Amino acid sequence: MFSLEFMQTAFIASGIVAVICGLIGYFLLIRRETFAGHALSHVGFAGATGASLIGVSPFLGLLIFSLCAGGLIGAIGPKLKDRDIAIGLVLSTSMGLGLLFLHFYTRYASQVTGLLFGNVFAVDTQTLYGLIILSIVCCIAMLFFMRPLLFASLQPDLAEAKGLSLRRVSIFFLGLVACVTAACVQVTGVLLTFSLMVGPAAVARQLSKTVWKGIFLSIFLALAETWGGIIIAWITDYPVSFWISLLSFVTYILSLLVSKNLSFYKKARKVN
Amino acid sequence: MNVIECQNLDVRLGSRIILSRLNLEIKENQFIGIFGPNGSGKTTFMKALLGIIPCAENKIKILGNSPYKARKQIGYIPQYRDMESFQLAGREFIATSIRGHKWGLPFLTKQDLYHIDAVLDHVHAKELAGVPLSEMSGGQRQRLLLAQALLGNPQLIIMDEPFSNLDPKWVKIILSLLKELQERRGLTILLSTHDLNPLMKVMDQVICIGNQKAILGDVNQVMTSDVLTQLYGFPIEVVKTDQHLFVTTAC
Repeated sequence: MFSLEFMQTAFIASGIVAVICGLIGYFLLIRRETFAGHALSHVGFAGATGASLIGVSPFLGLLIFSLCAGGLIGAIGPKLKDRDIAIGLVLSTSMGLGLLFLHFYTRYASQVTGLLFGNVFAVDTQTLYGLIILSIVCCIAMLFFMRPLLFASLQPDLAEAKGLSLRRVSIFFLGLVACVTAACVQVTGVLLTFSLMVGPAAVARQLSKTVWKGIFLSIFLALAETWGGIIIAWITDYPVSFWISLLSFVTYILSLLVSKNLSFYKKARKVN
Repeated sequence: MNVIECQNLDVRLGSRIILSRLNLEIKENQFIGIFGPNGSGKTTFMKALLGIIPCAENKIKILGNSPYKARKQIGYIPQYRDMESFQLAGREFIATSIRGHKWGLPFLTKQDLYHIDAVLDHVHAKELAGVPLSEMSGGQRQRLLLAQALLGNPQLIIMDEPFSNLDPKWVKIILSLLKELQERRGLTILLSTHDLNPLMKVMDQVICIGNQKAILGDVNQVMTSDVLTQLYGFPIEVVKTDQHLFVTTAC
């Protein structure tokens, strides 16, 4: 399995995607913006189909569309209460646009399926380089940005009082989410980005008392689910995205059971 | 020394005028209750003091500086926010505010950890350092936020409706803690509330906000039927007993 070139590319590409999904996904969770991550992938779909229509790389179209949408969502609604409306509006408008592009774009049905459900075995060298650049950009951005992002996400009112611009943080973060979404689509497809961006991070948030533990657990789970998904797909010949989403779901359910048992155990210990 | 000075201050929220031509001076080491009905502008006034809502230059002075420059000397506890879904431990949560507005990774130095433990000790909440937020009661969370507000040795503490989700037992505990901190550290405390009664024993002065105006003074001077009727523009009756105040419309 590991001697085949396309498999090596698949492992490298999915590994890169898993690391940035785990990292950014954790912040998506604590900012309660999971809907934004979900919406941006759908918006990216319109960009990818539009780019294919004019003969440009779908990955580039997806990235540009997601970035614009991320910036727009961040600019319209820096406060949590405004976000659902802003995101919903951007989502529905771009889905309409995607539908229009699909109306004209009648060739290469397999490429559309790949966009919707992902096909990590079809990642070519050019896309792999794109993923490497994206991941480097995201990691460097987080090196500078993680502290104010964390503060603004957990305590927005206080962060504002200490001089942080919530609007700028929101625009910048959603720009990063857009980059990660574009990368994630290469592995899970538009419709299943939630499983890789939100699933591992949700488990990590559930089980971690510290930020760093949460981030590392989220990255570790994203990697385990992605590589696990590829290996099981190789053995069973079922789609990778299916296995990744299933592993993500099962891990989440297990984490709920574990945290429930833990809190029950703690309560019982207190009573005794 | 004046901790807060407002001169001819107009506070606007968009095109709406919230406070007009406000003049007041608050001295150091005072416990001030801010009283007013919902929507009267208590939070907006506090946000103006914090520099979140911009006002004309030199109209507000905090410890002799503009609100922007005085930010480090203000400890702020915002209105209640749902924290039940967070599993983060108490120490980890308040650590996010240390240099939180500066670029970089959220690493802590030994000195940071020492400061966190010290402020937790000041509010008698050392045991909360390792407890997840989701497992804390409302009163414990409020103590944690108070500890956070003390980081950086502020001279002024601003608290926005800290008792809105607390039962009377915790209100009493937090108030006695605040009074102790005020006396021990010479703090000035500004605390907004719907109900002044729990504050009657600890408060030095009260600011009453309403109808785009605000009045500062002793409780006995401000909380009278005449003053409140004039402030709100309709008849209001204030009934006082030993340690309680009842404010009601006189119609």
